[in-house]
Formats: sequence, C-alpha cells, structure tokens
Amino acid sequence: MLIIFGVLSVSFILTYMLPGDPAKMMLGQRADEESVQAVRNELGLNKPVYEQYVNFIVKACRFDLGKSYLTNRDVAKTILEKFPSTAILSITAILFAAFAGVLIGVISAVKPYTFYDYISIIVALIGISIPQFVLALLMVYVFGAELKWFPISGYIDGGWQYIVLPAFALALRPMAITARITRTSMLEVLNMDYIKTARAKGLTEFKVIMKHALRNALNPTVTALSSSFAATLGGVFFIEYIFNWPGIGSLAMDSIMKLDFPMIQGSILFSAIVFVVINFLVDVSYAYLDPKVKLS
Amino acid sequence: MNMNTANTEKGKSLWYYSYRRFRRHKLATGASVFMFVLIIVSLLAPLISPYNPDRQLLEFTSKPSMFESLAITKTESGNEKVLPVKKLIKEDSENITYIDYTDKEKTESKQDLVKHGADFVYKMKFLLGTDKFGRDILSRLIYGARISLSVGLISQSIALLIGILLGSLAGYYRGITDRVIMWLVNVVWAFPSILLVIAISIVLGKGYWQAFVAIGLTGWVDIARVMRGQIISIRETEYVEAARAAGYGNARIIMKHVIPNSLSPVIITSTVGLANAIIFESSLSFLGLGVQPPTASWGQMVFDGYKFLITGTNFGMVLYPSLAILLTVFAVNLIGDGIRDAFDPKLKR
Repeated sequence: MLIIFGVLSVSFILTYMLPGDPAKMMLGQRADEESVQAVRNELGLNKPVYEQYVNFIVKACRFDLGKSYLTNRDVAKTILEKFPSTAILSITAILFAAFAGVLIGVISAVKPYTFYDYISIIVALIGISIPQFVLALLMVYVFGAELKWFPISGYIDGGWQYIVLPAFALALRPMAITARITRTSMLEVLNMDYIKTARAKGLTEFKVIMKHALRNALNPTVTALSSSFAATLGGVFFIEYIFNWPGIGSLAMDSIMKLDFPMIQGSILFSAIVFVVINFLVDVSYAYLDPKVKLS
Repeated sequence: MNMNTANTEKGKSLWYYSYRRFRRHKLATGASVFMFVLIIVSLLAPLISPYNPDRQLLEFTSKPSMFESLAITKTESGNEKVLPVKKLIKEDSENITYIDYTDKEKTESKQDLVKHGADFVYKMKFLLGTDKFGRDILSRLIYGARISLSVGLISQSIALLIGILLGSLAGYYRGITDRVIMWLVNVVWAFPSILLVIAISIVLGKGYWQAFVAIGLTGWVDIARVMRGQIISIRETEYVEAARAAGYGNARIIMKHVIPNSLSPVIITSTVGLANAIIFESSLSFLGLGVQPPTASWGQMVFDGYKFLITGTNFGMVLYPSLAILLTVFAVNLIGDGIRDAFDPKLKR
C-alpha cells in the first residue's frame, strides 16, 4: 500500500516537473490568455502545489486519471480498454518464457559442459544482450518481410498468427534469464544428498529430475520470472509499438511521441501498479511452491 | 601479476586469485579485449574514422556495403566541399572534366581543387555503406561508440554512487533509515525501468546529459539492494566489532572496513547495470529522446534505417548499428559472467 502511495507520488512529481503548460497544450499554442486561464482553473493548475498533490492522490484513488490532451478521452477508461490486449500478449510471452526457459535450463544442467550446454549459454546471453526493439526489428525483417511466415503488424482478432512474432520477441529476454537461473540452481540441487538418495532408491532419472530436483530448484526461477515480468512490462512498449499491437504499450508510445502527458502518466502509473500487484502475487505463490516459506 | 615474484602464497589477495580465475574464462577474456579495443576506437574516433560522420553526400544515399566512388575536393570560399565523380572523362594540366551523379558533364579548374595525396581525383570507399543522407555508416558507428560507452559509464557511475551510499546507510544504520530507503527502493523498482528512464528524460528535456542522468537515477536501485544485503551480513562480523571496540567512528568503519569487503557483488551487479544502461541509451535514442541529431548514436541509426527496412533497400543501415549494440552489450555481459565466476570460489570447474 505504502509502495503504491510512493508510486503515485513519483508520478505526480514527474508530471509536475514536465516542461510546457498543459492548458496551452490542450488549446494549442495560439490560444488567447483568457481561455488558457479558464482551462488552468478547471484543471486546478492555479492552486498551490500541495493542494494539486492532494487532489491528484484523491483522484487517482478513485481511478480518475484525467483526460487526454489530444483526444479529450478519459485516460483511465482508455487504459482499461487497452489492457486486455496487453495482458494477452504479456501472459502468452511469460508462459512461453517460463516453459521454454525452464526446459532449456534443465537440459543444460543435466548435461553440463556439453555442446548443447554451451550453445544454450550463448543463446541465453544473446537473449539478455539484445535490446528488445532491435530484436523486434530483426524479426520483422527476417520472418515478416523476407520469409513472410507471419504477419508483422496487427492484433490477434485477425488470427493466432498475429501473436507469434510479438510474443516471441517479448519472451526471449525473460526466457534467457529463466534458463540461466534454472541452470545454476539445478546444478546446485543436483549435487545434494537427497538426489543421490533418490537415485539410490532406483527411481528413473526422469522422475529424479522432474520431481526431486526441479521442485527444489524452482524457487529462484520464480523470483527471476517475477522480476522479468518487469522487463516484460517495459519491453511491451517497444514490442507493441513496432508490431502495431493495440495495447497499453503502443498507447504509451504514441502519447510519448505526441507528448500527451496525462496519457503518459496514466500508462506509467498503471504499469507500476500492475507490477506491484504481480509481485504481491508472486510472494504469495512462494508459499505454495516452497514449503520452507510460511505466509505471515 | 607474475608468478615468480617474491610474494609468497599468503601475500596474495582475493583480487589476485580473482584475476587469475577471470583469465581462465576464455569468453570473458575475449570480451574484455573487445571492450578494450572499442574504448580505444571511441577515444581515437577522429583519427580512425574514415570520414566525417556528419558529412552528408546526397549523391551517395543508401549505398550498400563496399560502395566505391571517385571524388574530388573543391574549395569554395574557404570551405572544402567533396564533389562525387561518377565517371572521369578527361584530366589535363589545367582542368578536370567528369560526369557527376546527375549525369551532367562538368569541368572544374585545378586551381579550385585540393590535392588528395598525390592526385586530385581520389577514391572514396564506404566499407559498410551509407545511410539515407549519404553519411558513412562506419564513421557513424565509430562516433556512436563514444555516445554508448560514455552514457553507459557515466550513468553507471551515478548509479553506483547513489546505490552504494543509500545501500550502505540502510544496511549499517537499520531501523528507520533502512525503512525509508527501502521504501524508496521499492517505489523506484515498481516502475518498469525503461519507462522511468523515458519519463525522466522527458522531464529533463532531450539530450546527452539528460540521457545519462535519467539512466543513472533509475539504475541505482539494484546496487542499493545488493549493497544493503552485503552490509547487513558484514556489520555482524568480528572484524567490524573489533574496529568498533577499538573506538573507530561509523564513517571510518563504513569506508575502511565495510565497503571494501562488500564490493565484489556490487561490481557484478554494476556490470549488469552497465549492459542495461547501454540498452537504455540506445532505446532512448531510438525514440529520439537521447542524443540529438546530427550527432551519431547507435539507437538513432537503427531508427533511421528502420523506415527503410520494409522496403528493403539497404539492410545494412539497420543491421550494423544493431550488431554494434548487440556485440557491445554481449561483451559487457560476458565480462560480468567472468567476474561472477572469478569472485565465486564455489563455482569451480
């Protein structure tokens, strides 16, 4: 709760410090002084800072984020409309990243220092090193423009093919992080005595790895996945913009390009709050994944 | 670092062993060499780069790699101007007659021309081709390295300074100081960092110093977290207790005993931070919020080329700056991996 309060405050400070006069932005630079003053009064811009601050917090708690300077549409409403498409994209990407990342990590850890291991280490490092906008552009070029396998822009309502490129572009970084962490933590767990015990009992190697080792190695993976959710939320902005995916990301990018401040503020605030909520959910999920953690 | 020095085994420090372990990590050693070369190249950019990175030659827009052309240099009221030559027709002791890129025949008097080496007519070669303004991509890449590296290093220094300071304070004093600082850390951490970087740089206005301040103000969080964790474990150690018993003040204990012993995880975190900072800088430039044109930066080069990508005229305009970003970040990450392994004696191979 305190964190959300802090997030709100930071958003307020950032908006307050933004250059330019919002009233003039709404009316255009040539507006006459009188109507500029009228709008300033309406927006409460003539009040002292602390009053503006209190107003902002109160309004934000009622999810009233103001109106777009450009379209005069309600910011909160616009964001909520765009949220589902961003959610679909991010969840697809994270699920893929989690599944593929754990798989790559486990295989690497089971066969350490082999050819496969080195390949996956290098692929994972590239996944971490490539900026998402570069990756997205390369995919647009290779799979969209050259090979023409998948459409390069548009939304899922046109068919499942539309989500393939953006979801993969979004997934690569969290996948790489997950694979690295899973590998390290599996390597550690595989050296434990209880793994030897499990093998000595005559369990199949598959069962030893999936049931005894992986369950115990997953904890750091979940932490990594939760923080890569942050990377995903950040990456979604470039990915949606480049693939023309109609979510919060492209909304925010458009607003940034056009300097539509309430929209920028709204989308940043919204992502931050989603992130706080996700982190809370992750903390709760530890209790189920790891019996050593007790809910307090 | 010679094995045969007079030093006996016990005289060798953690740093010595770490260095030796780092050297064994071949990829990381290679990456260090790469970074070293890159730093030298960006320092010596004016000497190394084949052409002026900002000079536009509209005759040469969007040429592919290895493009070559003849050219002559003319002085016009004190300024030197490059005139591309499509085909040389005649050169005598007085004049040079040639066909230019608009297929017109032109004649220049040698009095107005500047000698390039021994001859007036010389060959221009664009190893990586040119961009849409006819600027040499290789030269722009070389100058762009300056921006990427300097923004990365300066922003990471800012992040280190804030992170180490706040992290040490939180970890050492605990209590209310800790809670306030950790609250701040969690708040900043809650924002997707690229968005916070974008927002801060909009607030500060676009530009070079704005970019590294924005990245630095966002990047300190991880360092503060790691530092705090380190300090909490170190302040309970016996040597800190001994220092306290000896009557040293808090400042001296933090500076002389606690911080030096907690640095290795911080160094690892900050290499990851450096990699991210380079990504952030290129992302900012890609959005047009970073260094402003005509100054070359990799992210902006990618953006400029992006418009040509779909039509597929000159893929190099996107490919080369993309590769430059990728390789640099890759190298920094590899070095980070090498340092991690070097400082972690548990990860023996």
